[in-house]
Amino acid sequence: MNKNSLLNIATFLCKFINACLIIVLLILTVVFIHFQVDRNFYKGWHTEKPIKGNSIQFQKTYGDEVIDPDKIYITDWNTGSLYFNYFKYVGIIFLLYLTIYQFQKVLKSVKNFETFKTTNVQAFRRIGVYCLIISSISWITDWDFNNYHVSGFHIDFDFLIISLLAFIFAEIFKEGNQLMEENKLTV
Amino acid sequence: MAILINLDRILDERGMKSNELADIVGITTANLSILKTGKAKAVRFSTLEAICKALDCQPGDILEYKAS
Repeated sequence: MNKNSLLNIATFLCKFINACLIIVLLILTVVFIHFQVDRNFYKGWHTEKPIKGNSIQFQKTYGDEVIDPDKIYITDWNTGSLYFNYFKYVGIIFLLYLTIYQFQKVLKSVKNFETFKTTNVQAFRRIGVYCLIISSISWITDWDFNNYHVSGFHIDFDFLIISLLAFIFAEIFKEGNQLMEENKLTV
Repeated sequence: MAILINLDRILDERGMKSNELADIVGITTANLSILKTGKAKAVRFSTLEAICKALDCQPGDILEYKAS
């Protein structure tokens, strides 16, 4: 596989992921608004206890609706927690979009043989900052329902490591830029 | 920079123009301008050799060290 086809695949993947993120963001916003307009529409949607980490998976039971005290119903979601989680995930999705957009810019410059441009150093620094913010947003958990409440703080290392790698790449690209400038000014 | 380039003086003495020298040496006029204005970070031996050959001079005639 040559360099260009690899870069083309990576660029396509970036565009695809960004398109998916926009769709997810739109769906999330529509559901968020609709949930407040018509809460009863989501009657029957529930999740199991306990809620681990950041993820929560809602499912709907069809058929006889018997209120189960061991289940958490979406209609019981506390408004404060709902707003907190909405803005948290919207923030994460938006920052992910920006991160991938910056990476796309790096890929484009590599394709144009301008790998060690100063803009790439800035792009990697931005990626580092975005991932650091994503990581710190992910640390706080708050799920508050009428019959169940869990809020806490946990350290998520995934984005912290990506952030560290991005900062290291920024330094590598900075060195590369200095070498490129020196090479350019060698007569 | 402490290293001065006396290329303009040598060119005047030889009655040669910058673009002529660039053509003979085989570098672009932009690169020759970088060299003349002292913006160059390094000079290749091959370039220096070609300049000396074209201007019939020694490297010391082109380069000069001045303590700053």
